[in-house]
Amino acid sequence: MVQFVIKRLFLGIVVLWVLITLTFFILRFLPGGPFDSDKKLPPQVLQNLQKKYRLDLSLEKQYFFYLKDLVFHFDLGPSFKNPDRSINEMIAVSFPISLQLGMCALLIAFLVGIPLGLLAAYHHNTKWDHIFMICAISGVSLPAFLSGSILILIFSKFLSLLPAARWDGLSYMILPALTLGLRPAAIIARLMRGSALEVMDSDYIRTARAKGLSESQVVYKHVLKNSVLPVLTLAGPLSASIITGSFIVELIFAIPGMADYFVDAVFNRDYTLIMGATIVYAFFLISANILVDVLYRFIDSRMQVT
Amino acid sequence: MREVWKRLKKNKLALASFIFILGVLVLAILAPLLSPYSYDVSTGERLLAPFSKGHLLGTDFLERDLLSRLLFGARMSMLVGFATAFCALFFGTSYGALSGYIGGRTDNFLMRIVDIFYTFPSIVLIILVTVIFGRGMFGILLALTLIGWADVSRLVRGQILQTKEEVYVLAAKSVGLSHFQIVLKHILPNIVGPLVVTLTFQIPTAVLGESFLSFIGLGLKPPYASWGTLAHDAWKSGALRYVEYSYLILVPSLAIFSSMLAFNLFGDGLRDALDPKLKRSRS
Repeated sequence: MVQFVIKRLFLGIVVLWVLITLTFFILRFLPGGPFDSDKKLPPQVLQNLQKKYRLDLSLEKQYFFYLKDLVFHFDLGPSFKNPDRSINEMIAVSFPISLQLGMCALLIAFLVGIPLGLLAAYHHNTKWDHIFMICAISGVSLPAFLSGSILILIFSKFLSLLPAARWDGLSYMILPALTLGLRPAAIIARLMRGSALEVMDSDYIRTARAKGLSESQVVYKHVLKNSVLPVLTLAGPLSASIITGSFIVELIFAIPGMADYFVDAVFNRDYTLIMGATIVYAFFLISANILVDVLYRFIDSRMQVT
Repeated sequence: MREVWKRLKKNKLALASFIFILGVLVLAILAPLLSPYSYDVSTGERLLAPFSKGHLLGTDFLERDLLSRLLFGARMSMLVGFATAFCALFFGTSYGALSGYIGGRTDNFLMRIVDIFYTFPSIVLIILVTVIFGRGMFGILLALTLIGWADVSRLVRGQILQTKEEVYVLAAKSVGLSHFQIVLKHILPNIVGPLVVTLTFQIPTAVLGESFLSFIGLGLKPPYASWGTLAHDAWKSGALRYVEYSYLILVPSLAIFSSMLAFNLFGDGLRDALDPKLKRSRS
């Protein structure tokens, strides 16, 4: 177990390091510096700016200092386009919003997906099963900008119930979180159904029935408990899919989160911000994956470490 | 093969999806002949509602005919989808076959690289590639291929490891065929089933990926139009703010959705037809 954790942590750190190094050098070689804007800067100002961004040092030194700041101070440096703001400040403002949104979406996804999958499996090969599964496969095929548009049109244009933009409290969170959670919910429902079908086929469920347990006891105590475990491992890949979705959701609903900053940075060619956002996303996803893997091993000791 | 087709024919949903996909492809290929107007020239009539005279789906903010744009959009979306899926399939198969066939330490090393790709957050990868290569077809194809190939290579490697000890492979070896011939003529034909299934799932993933990139503004450059850029243009012009203009965003999004659904349903059907034993446990 300890060996497994160490191995996973090591692979995670290697991937993170490869990503940081690649992004650092690629972005340095791209055309366009921070200050080649339209107006010419006086030499003195230019020199000061270059010093601030350490552009006067050699490339290896820049890389070394960047890594040092990152590892020891979690400092991502100043922004290329807004010299007054540091990347850390920008991320401190935007990351919590994205995290809130993502967590709500994940919660919705599990709350909707698990019961639906379980119901479909329980009514296997009936009309309900087929209807649920067609809904699930539609959910997987749904682009976020379609679900988002439809939700906005219904709830905020026709019914005028919920706001369609910005991020100012609970009522603002409902539509974006729903939009974001829909696809993961469908993925969970499909996996949950498969997993529950397998469990329902097993001998211990037959034993439980034979003992005379009531249907609800069989379903809640045995089927749910045993089939939900493989579904939980999805939390890692799902957070990746939620981050991808958040780019579109934050755009449509005008939410000032990380994705919003990232896209702006790409258009402005704000390389340090791109770099910082990349590292934060990568760190978050890699940790989520490791955490889920380790938890899974911990809970399910039947599985042998390979 | 005939067996598979027979089982597939029984699955009405998958068959209907297959016909739908073929229809979309025909429309995409014949777009220049079928579309009533040019896709990027103004028709002089701004924001006509759908079912107007002469414009079945209406016109957009820049006075362009939406039906024509949709047909040409199908061309680009399908092109990106198929091209990426084939690239990913080609690289993934070559890599996986190499890794599995050589085996041993090389295999171990090559698979660690695949592991790294798996851990890589794909969204970050896509955006970085578009930052480096700029917007346009090449960047999109490269980004989407980089995401897709790892899956294929894992699948192919697993299959090769299973088949390479089979008697017919040993027989081919003893006749004196080269390694390349053995892989190409004796091993790959036997794993064509799972490969085709992967292909049918890679295409919709790529189409969705392209629409994602285009929607956040990192996709194809105008005047090229895909379904994703249509939705992006509409959204950017504020189509969601007014109910009466929402058709501009709903029409291309529905086109993406229905094609995705068709590909996924067909892929599911194909998988079940190829391996009926799996049907029960998977959904």
